Amino acid sequence: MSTHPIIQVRDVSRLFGAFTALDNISVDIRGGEFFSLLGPSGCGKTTLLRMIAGFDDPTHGDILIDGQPMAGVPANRRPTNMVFQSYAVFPHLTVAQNVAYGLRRQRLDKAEKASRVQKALEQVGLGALGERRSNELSGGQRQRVALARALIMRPKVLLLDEPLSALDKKLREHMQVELRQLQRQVGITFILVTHDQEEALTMSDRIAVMFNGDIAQCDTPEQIYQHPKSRAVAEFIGGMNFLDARMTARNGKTVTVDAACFGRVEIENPHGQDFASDITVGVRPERLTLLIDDNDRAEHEMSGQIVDASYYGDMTYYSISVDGRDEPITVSMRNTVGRRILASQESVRIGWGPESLVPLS
Amino acid sequence: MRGFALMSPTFFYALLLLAVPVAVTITFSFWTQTYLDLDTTFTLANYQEVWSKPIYRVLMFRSLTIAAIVTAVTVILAYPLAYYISFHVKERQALWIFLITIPFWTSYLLRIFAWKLILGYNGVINSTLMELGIIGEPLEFILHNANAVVMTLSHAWLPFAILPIFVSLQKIDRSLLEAANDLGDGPVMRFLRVTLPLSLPGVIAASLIVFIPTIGDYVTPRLVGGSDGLMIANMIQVQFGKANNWPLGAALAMTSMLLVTAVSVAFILVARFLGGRVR
Amino acid sequence: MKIKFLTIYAVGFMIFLYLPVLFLPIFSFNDSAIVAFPLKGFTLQWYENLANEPGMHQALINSLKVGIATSVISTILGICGARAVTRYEFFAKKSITSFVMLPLVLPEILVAISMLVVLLQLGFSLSLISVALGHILMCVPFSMAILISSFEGFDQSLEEASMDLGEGPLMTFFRVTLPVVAPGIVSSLLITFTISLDEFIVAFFLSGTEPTLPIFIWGQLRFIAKLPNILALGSLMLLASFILLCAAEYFRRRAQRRTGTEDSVI
Repeated sequence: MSTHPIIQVRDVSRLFGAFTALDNISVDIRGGEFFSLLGPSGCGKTTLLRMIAGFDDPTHGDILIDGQPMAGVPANRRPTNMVFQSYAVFPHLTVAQNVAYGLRRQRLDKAEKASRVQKALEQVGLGALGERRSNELSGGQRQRVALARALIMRPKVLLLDEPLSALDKKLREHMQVELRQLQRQVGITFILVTHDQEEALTMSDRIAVMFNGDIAQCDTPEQIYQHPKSRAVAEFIGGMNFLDARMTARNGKTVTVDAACFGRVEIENPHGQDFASDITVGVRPERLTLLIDDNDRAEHEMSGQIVDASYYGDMTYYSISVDGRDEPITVSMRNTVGRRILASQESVRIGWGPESLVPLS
Repeated sequence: MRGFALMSPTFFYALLLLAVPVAVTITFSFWTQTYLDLDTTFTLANYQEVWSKPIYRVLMFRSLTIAAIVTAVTVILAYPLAYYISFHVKERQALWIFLITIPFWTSYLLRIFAWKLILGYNGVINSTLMELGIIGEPLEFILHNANAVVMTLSHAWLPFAILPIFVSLQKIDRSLLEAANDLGDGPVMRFLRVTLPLSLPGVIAASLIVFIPTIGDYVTPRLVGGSDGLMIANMIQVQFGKANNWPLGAALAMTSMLLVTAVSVAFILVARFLGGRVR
Repeated sequence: MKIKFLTIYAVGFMIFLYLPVLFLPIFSFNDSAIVAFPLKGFTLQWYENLANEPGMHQALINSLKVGIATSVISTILGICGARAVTRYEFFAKKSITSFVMLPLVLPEILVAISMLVVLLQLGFSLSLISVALGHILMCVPFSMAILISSFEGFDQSLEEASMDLGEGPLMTFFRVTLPVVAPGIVSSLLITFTISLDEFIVAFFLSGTEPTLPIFIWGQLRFIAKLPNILALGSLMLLASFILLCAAEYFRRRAQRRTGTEDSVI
């Protein structure tokens, strides 16, 4: 993976009348990486993607592709290609004609063109369907046509606008793996727009989480999950317990926090952020353990009572009320061999470590 | 701005060939015809004549009555068919709709002409009845009167009335009907409390689509109407033709348009009010 | 029970709708100058008579001229309007659209006399051109209605995809937009041509000394002896309309398949 930024977004804003779709955004996307723009609808992720593609222009700021400023360069002159949310497969053309659409300007001879089309179709697993009309295709097949049609252009960047949202769950999971493999194989930078956190986590090298026209955090999936910067990011990705605490000291990459339910501890602050003295501390349900046997021990413990248990097959999620806190804390436990499901009202101890606590802004 | 630029040829065409001419015609209605010349001083004389002479009042009233009856007949006949196609035709809806629209697109003149053949003195009905020995002499009352006009016009407008009703019925979410059933309504009450009110916009649209143009028809009265089936449009046509009194013709046209608009607005208000009362 | 009653009603309705018009072709083959039952025998004489009717030939040519001009121009105006309505937002969009669609509900006589007044005031003489002008005005709403439904299903991202794959606006129009909406356009051309061919009221006021087919028929209605010829001519016109409409329907459905709005009936 090269570290040269293939796309540089510099101080980009986009206003629609009084509405700010993008608010002074800057981000670099590296060559060859699988980058996701993740956020709820209306957060500006699609607007940013369409600006990179050339279907929309920033109100302020610049977008550079491979070092070239893109202001005034129309979509048809940009080294990007897009897989549309609706796939936009041309209904009047066959599959092969769709895939060959963008080759017209390259003036290839017939045989060359045919072999490239065939290769592109095989790449996406549609080798035998070249002569099909697009209205005879399933959703998954349409998506593959859209993919082949874009990849055959050998773009520097492939843009994917919610490509999996129209597919059913099984197919979606399958395509996640396939897209990821395809990206490794062709080595092209992929930029994926999605509102599905799981999709972003499993597929991406890096993720930009966006809210209200702003990038809240741009990091690897692991960092985003384990060390969310803010409560909003943590809430959007996975489940998390939020505990009110007081910050008593801040020292470079650590902060000392104090809360009724867990006492005073020093925890990591990997982003080196500033916080107000009233701070929220987050902890993922799976980072807490239930101490069931009397001789189970943990570094820190708090005791509580089970309020409710939700059984998910592989996991069980327990709501546990603890002293010093109104809201119950959620703890998840893997249902390994021999582990019984605890009943309501049972008293339990919760084990935890300071490394599981995340300070949130 | 690009949208407006793209719309402008169409818009300006309609402006130039519809709005401007109608405006000029309105101006005309305030002028007077003196033999071959136009007196362009402003006057309400034409309107006074329209409102004071019994012949115009009779024609105006008859036109409104005929148009109202035609509208009622058309909508009442069209509703069950639109309902049938929307609710009971499962597979070939498009074919039904197509079959219904064909007569609408075919020559209006020929359709009226066909009615003349059917209702005429030696026409289909009379000759059949005589052939069967039911009557000895051709019946005269079936042609050349207002009934013939109503009959012919209703037939001519039926296809046009079905479409808006059908569209409004199609838009009704079928689960609303199931909800009505679920909440205890039988088929009749469900129709009255859910289906009919929800299809009311279609019924109103169908009524106006039939009512307004019917006022302006002069072909049907001429061909099948006889003297007591003549309508206001025939008089307008006479003013623009033989009588060569265009200002009076324009005043007649504008007066009838005003009346039609007033009746239509009243109709919409009443229909909305009644529709709102069904609960 | 209810369904059965409605089915009977529907079938009866269709018979009532079609029967009157069917008398035209029936009597057009009847070997008698009087239109009455019982039928006297089969003849093609009335159709042969048409061949020797120079006035009819001229009227036919006039109708074709007006029809072609009307369908082409009103469809072009319809394309502009439908494209503007489906793709853009602009000032007073709703009012402007309703205004353009207005001729759909206006009494034709109002359209006819208003145009008559203006054309003659401006010193134009009545001709086939004035008829075509009137017909275009009346056909634009129909063309718009057909094309709007055809353009609505047209996914805007298709054009973006074409741009994205390297084509400029012009080639995008020829390679994507036009082929996808072409069936809708053909359907509009056919429908507007049919309307113009059959239109009587506006043509009656605006045709001057050059009659179109319906005006020619109107003129012949006075002569009882000519009645069978009119039946033959009318039958041919009905047949022509029918064929044109079937073709229009074919293209309309194709347009829906292309834009993927197969389910809608209208």
